[in-house]
Amino acid sequence: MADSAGSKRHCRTCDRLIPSFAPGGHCPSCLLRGSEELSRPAQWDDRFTIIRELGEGGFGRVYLAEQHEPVRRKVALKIIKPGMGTREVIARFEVERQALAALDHPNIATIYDAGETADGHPAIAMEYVPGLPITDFAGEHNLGLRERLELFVKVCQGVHHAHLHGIIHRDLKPSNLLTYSGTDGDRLVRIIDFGIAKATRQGMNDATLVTLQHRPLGTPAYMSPEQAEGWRDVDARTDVYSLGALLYEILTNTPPLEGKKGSEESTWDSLLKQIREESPCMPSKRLARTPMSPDSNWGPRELAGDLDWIALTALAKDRQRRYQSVDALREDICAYLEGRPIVARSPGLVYRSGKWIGRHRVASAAILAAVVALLAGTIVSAVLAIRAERARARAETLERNAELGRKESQRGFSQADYQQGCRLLADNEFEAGIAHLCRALRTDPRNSAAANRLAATLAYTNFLPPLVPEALHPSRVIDVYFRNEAEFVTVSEGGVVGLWSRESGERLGDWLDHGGERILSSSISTNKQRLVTTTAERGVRVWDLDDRRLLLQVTSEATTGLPMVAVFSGSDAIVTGSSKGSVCKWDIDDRTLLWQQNYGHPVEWLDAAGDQLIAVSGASAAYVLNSVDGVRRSYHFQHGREVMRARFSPDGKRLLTASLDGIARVWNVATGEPVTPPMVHDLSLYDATWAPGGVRVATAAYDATARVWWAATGKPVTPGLRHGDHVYSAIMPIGGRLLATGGRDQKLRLWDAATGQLIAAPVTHERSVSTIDLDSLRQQVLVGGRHEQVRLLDIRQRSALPVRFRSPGKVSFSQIQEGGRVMRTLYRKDGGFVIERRETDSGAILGEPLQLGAVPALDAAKKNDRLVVKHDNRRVSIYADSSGALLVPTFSFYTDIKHIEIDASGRFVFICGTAGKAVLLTLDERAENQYGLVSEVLEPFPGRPVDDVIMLGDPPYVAARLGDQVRIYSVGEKSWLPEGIMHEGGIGSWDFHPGQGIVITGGYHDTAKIWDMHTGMLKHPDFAHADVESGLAVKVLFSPDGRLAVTSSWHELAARVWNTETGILVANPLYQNAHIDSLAIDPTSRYLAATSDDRTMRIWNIEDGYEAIPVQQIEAGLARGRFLPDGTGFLAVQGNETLLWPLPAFTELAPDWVINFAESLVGRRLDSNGVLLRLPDTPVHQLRSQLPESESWFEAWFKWIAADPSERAPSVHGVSY
Amino acid sequence: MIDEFSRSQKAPDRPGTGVGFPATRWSLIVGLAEGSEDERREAMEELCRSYWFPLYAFARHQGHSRHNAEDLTQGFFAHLLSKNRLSYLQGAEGRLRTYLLGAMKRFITDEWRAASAQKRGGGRNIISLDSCAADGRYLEIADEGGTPEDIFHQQWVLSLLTKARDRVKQAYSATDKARLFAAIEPAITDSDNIDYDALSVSLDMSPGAIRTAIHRLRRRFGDAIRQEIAETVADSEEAATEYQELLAHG
Repeated sequence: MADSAGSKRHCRTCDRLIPSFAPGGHCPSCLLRGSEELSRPAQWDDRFTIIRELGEGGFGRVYLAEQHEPVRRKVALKIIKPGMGTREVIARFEVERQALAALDHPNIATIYDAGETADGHPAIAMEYVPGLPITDFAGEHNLGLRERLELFVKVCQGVHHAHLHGIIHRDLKPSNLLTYSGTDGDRLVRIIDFGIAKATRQGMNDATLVTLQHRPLGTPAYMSPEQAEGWRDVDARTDVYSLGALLYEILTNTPPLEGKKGSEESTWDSLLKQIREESPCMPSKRLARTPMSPDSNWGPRELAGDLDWIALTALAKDRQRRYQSVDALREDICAYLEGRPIVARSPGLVYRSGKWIGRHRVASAAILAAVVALLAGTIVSAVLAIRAERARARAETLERNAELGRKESQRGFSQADYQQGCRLLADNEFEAGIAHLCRALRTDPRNSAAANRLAATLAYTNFLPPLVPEALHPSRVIDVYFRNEAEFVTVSEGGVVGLWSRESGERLGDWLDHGGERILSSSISTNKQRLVTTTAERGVRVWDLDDRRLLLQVTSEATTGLPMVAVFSGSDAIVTGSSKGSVCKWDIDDRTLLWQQNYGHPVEWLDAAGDQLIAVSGASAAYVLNSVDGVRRSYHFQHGREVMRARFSPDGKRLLTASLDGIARVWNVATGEPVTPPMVHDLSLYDATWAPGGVRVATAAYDATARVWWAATGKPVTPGLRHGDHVYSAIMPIGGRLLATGGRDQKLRLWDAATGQLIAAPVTHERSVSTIDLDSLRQQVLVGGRHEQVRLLDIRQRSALPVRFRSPGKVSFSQIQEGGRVMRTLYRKDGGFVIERRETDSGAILGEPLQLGAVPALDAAKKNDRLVVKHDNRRVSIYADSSGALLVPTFSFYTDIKHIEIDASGRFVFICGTAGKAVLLTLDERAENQYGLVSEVLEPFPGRPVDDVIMLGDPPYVAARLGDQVRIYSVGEKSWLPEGIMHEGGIGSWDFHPGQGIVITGGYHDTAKIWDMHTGMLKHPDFAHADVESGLAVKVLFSPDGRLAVTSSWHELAARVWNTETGILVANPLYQNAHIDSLAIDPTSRYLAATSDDRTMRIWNIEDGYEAIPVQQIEAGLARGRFLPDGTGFLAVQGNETLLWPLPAFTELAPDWVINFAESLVGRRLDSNGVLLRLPDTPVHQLRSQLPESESWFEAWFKWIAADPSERAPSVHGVSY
Repeated sequence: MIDEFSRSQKAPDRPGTGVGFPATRWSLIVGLAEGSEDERREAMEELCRSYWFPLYAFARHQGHSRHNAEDLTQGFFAHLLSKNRLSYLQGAEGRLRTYLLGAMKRFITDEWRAASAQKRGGGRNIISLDSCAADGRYLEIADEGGTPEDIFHQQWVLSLLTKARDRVKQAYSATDKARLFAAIEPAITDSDNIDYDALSVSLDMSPGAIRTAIHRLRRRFGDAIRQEIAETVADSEEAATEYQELLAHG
């Protein structure tokens, strides 16, 4: 027989060589591997018989199977692929099992069982749902819009039910939403696969991402950006995103992100980029482009408006901007279906676009296009208006109910505005946010949440108030310059140059008139005495700004072509560049042409280095000319497209170029060699500038970012600094780390040029911001742009800082006493401890600090002015710390002491020794300040020392914890309460509230429990943080009145607030961006403060879940935060310091002047029709003088806000204590 | 060509040997299952016919010439099937594959001389061995590299899969489904490139029915592979180990 070794080929799956004699031509390796999953499922646990395969997914295969025991039924059997780690999958699944078992909802398929097949594959048996993927079902049954949305609502209900049980789906997509017709012909939908994505860690970790990199991913269209990026703290909002994608597809028949189908390039990276960055177009637009089948009952018109906004809100890239719960999404869909009025548009936007169109009825298409782009850019914030506006709509309905509803509707209006204001503020929409809060107060002056948020925001935000009224021009402004301490210069396109007083904002003298000619460009001399302008008609003019006279005029004939730009070369000469490429140098005083060269391309830009060098750009290269003779250097600076800017470094030795090819680069002028590699943006660059020191450069680009780079290496200093649209201008002033950027999104933004942090609330202009000048010495900024106004703003640091009280040593704790008048601080010094008392207003120390001598360690109670001090681990002294008097003679305990606790009355002291010996001491008053001690043995865990003790109540209860147990002793009844509090696995954190008779324990398995202390029984089911599996303790805390409990699990980055009476959540989880370090609730139970890992502190309004003050940056190591007893501040210690954040705690009516003041300060007012009016700039000093002269809480607070930053206390502090 | 080497056979109908694991050829050989001397010999011959090529390739890859390798293989089988040798195997547990490789190695180094003297005298060819075709096969894989042991294991997998496939193919042919088998067989390992619509037309079946058919075929294939593995091991635990090792070599 002849040799048949011929046609060798490679396996398509594993790329191995397949021998010609391989059986059936199969790849042996794959055949063998495949056999594993080919044959086994039938064996699993002998409880199931496979009937047929249902499908195949990323995790493995699904079979229809018959279960024999314990009950006979058809099930869907999921066999997880090999390689996913059987034991881990099953273990993870076990973790969720209990929670999954609790899911009982008509729209969720039941999970029956999980196990391991005989050959070791994890397998899950779940309810078999004979349905179609929801989108297929809708298509096959040709469902109309309403029917589709009704199905979607059912899906939301199911998902929400799961969320309430702490289960996140993570893989919601049409094929997991099986839809079928019920027996009554009604349409039913069941969500399958709850808990599976989590158990198999789909899309969760790096390993998965790596494997995905080489395979087309099944369903990226439904995956939230945070999940795609592999964040560990994915929360319920990931499902909101997936549902948003589903809604989009239901509405348009296409997924929101249209992948480049069939493209070989669609790697995981590009998909990720798409998920992260690409915003879907509005559903109505998509539908207009790719219409549905002709018999569908809706089109773009039905989607435009409400449904567009709803879908895009759910699909917001930033989860903070999405619906915060699936229920909120469902609510909006229902509102739409029920025809409830929804005004799903931000009033501000409607106003703005309306106003533009009104003013520019003859506006070109280009301007309209810009408006549309702008609207699209701000959709996300606009859609956030939905809920608030709906609340408003509801209030409107209520209003019809005459008198009874009157007050209610007022409150409804007010609350809606307050909420929308909070959202706008969170989005950095400072002006609009303040305007909403003001309208909330105007509608209902009793809305103290709005009043407090308004006061806190103005105090804790760096806003940029106007110093003078706007400088008005006949047409748009192209350039602004600070000239000297007294004046600034503006150049308006319509042919005028103005000089203005920085003091009053008034124009100084007449315009420098160009006879109505259109000014193309301008440039100011280094000494700021001369200005050169170019116009389309009469060429170049040089003005003396001191004398306001024309020094030189060069006609366009003389410059050969239209003079596009001109620049000073020294102060006595100018260089001009024309549309025909000629570059000329003119002597100003002699009015003579010194030389002329031809560059060969239209000249877009000129820059001069002293009077020596000129840089010319416009085409795809920049050139350097010798300014003396016009001779061109032999080399050029090449780019791929037109070079927009070429600027010399301050020392003239390097050149910075920025090009439409998206690249900026630094070059050596002497050699022509590049100094840096290309500094790349995603899109073309508009501008690039040097920092005055020449060490850093900044770029501004079409890709909506600005960026700071190292000029020596080309490495980025900051991340991309984001605007909402093209960035036109970036400028860094002398000295300091400031960067100002302006762009098409109408915003001026100030950044820390070293860190990229935004350092002030962005300022919104009428139109694009294209020209900025900064005076870093006087801390002022001039802003102009494609509109007629120039504003002079104060950029000094205004935001309140925490008041810092410095002590001579490391502070252990501080507290406020005597109605806020006195602050008592305990600090370490020289191995001992010192107690000092200060006046909180002035910070002055009161009396002599109490020296506690060389005390090796100390456990002190902080609830009253008694101080218990432990010496040498064994001796105990009890002082009255205001006087320093020793109340009882120092005595010795039996053994070394582990804990000392004193109750609030100061009468009872609990001491526990290291060996377990414990006593309760009662201080018996014998004479004034003379006490005797009565001692009683009190051993919660005989023979063993307790881990910690809490003593609360009057008479007190002593609650002691050891390991996983808590025992409570009633001092009043002299008896132990029943045992029973035992949190298995250990207690990581606990709290005790005798008034409500409850104990809360935070365990290590992501549950917290509330116990009835009188029975030792569980009061409520576990408070689950089921979507975490950290093994780390849940932090728990009662509010001072015991009505609320806060729990915070390490993994969820959120705090949950529960009603201790009912055991249900009070509000949506309060999310932080990092793990929560510490929690505190204010005495009124209104505010929750949390510090977290990312060095931020947030204070939330518990009731509505909005932040009560802007997020505060803190230093690491901030500890023991607590609210002041009257809620007027938050106190924390850090190193040698005590920090105090004053908080407004207004309860009285907000006076009108507060509202007017705030509106004037931000220059916006929201009128009763929802129109955001622009108010004229009122200089801040003028506003200050209008404040009333009384001495109320409000005045003091707002006076501080209005005060000159250089003349006031560093914080609002001092106004109340 | 393939059929020539591995004649398909009906699965032997034997009484069970214990809990859960059926009697197999190898359990018979090593005495875990009841059987006569002749039955054991027959079982061994059967296995040798199926797995001679891996041994041949092993010898070739050790550097033996085609004829030498052929002689060695035949000689090894004669030696293996001799009466006393077979009884020696009584109680040797483990697996056929590892046993054969070890025995072949010892045979080549220690016992070849003596055994060959005896065999060449009046020995018979135990199995029909087309050395021409066999060597063609060997040459096809020879340049892939690896040790002689690697070659042996790889070829073992191939032989085992060939047997399994024949078993399945036979079953389909027996029920007049040879055409169906031929049409859907590629789907066993290459399910991504199945044109259900085209198949639906050519087989006159609905795509759903085709999916089900493919699923059944896959399962039968998997079962066949397991059965073949079972034939070469003594119990289910060994079967699992063997499976894992084959995967490693596959």
